[in-house]
Amino acid sequence: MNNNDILNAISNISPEFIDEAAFELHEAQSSDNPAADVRGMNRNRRRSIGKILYIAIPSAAAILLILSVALPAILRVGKSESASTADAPAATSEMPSESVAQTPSEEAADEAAAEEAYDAQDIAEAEPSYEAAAEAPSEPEPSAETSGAATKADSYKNDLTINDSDKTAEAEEAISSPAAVYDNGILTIETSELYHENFEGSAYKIFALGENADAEPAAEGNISDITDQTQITDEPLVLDLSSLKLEPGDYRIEMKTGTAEFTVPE
Amino acid sequence: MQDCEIVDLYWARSENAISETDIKYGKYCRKIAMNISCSAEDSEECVNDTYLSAWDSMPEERPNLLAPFLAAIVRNHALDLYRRSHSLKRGAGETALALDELLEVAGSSDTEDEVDAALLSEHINGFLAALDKKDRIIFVRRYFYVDPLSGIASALSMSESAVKSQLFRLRQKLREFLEKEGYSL
Repeated sequence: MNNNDILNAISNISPEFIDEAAFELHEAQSSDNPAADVRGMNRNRRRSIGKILYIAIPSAAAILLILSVALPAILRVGKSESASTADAPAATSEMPSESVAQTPSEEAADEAAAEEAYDAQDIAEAEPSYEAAAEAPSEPEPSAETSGAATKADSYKNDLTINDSDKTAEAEEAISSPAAVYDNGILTIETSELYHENFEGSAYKIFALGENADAEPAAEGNISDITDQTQITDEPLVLDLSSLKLEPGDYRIEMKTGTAEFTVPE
Repeated sequence: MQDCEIVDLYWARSENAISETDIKYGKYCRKIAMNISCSAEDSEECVNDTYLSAWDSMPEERPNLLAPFLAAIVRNHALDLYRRSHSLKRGAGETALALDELLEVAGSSDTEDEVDAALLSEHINGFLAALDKKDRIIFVRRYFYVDPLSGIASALSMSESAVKSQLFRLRQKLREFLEKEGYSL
């Protein structure tokens, strides 16, 4: 056998094989020719690789971006939370959280707000701390130690915000309008809604209300002049206003322990 | 026009059969002829001979696929023409290169053993059927259509060196296959 025999034999190979390889040589059959699949496979492989890269590269970039930005933020939040729950002020001063980054004035304000919240709670529970509440805003202590306290106060304040605000409003309303009855120069005030504290030596002022209202008090003086009591107790506060000779009308008495409105009948 | 309609024209002895064949497969036949003969003039002569052969053979044969039927005819005409004008072993162009390559399979001996051409074709068909599609296409494109390496590489999106390497492996496989079938190579 020689190569001529093989060449002639190849001339008689199956028409299917001839047609299979005939793509591109005659376009008429190239569309449904399975040989086109060979080129198609290569093209599809390149396309699929391209698609994978097209999806994978942006996805990887997005993941890296999330890891580089979100992860430190998450860790920072976690540290801030742990710092806020810790009792040591030094620990919070090391953390770059917002509570530590506050200015001294903000810290003082927070501290005062926290103390007010405590006071309101105290009022509701009976122990008077009126002075502390009044003095708190004027005595801020902007130091590193207070920042820890402020953080602590913030957490307390956040916990008590709703209840305390309601309680404070109720307390103020109660203090401003205790039950007071004027009868023949004697004013009897229920003390349950007054600050229970010593008022010896303190002053009082009585202002007219309604049509006779005036910026100047209708009467004023030392509270010891109108009562023998020196301290608010559970007993009603009895004030002798007969010497003041108040005209009939509505009045408001302001004392250290609170205010009360009453009416002098005709 | 569909292949079956063109065949019907041949069977009806309509002269339109040749013009329709030329419209649909003229370029295809010229490409094969040109691959082998390397001459526009010779390839045109081959194509005309092909149409004539198809005209003569068609009432007896009814090919399902007209393209390979014509391809086989034009290839034989082109090879005959090539043999007449060139030495088989010392030719030039793609045909000479393809023949030199097939020499690796057939061996260099000039033995004139009687070879059953039909049986050899059957064996080669068996060999091709066992190949995967891509290898089969490479083999047929090179040794049936006598396509240049660059043409095969371009058609299959491969490099020329890859096609050349693959053809070498295919020839080795064919040689082993034929030896197993009892051919003395």
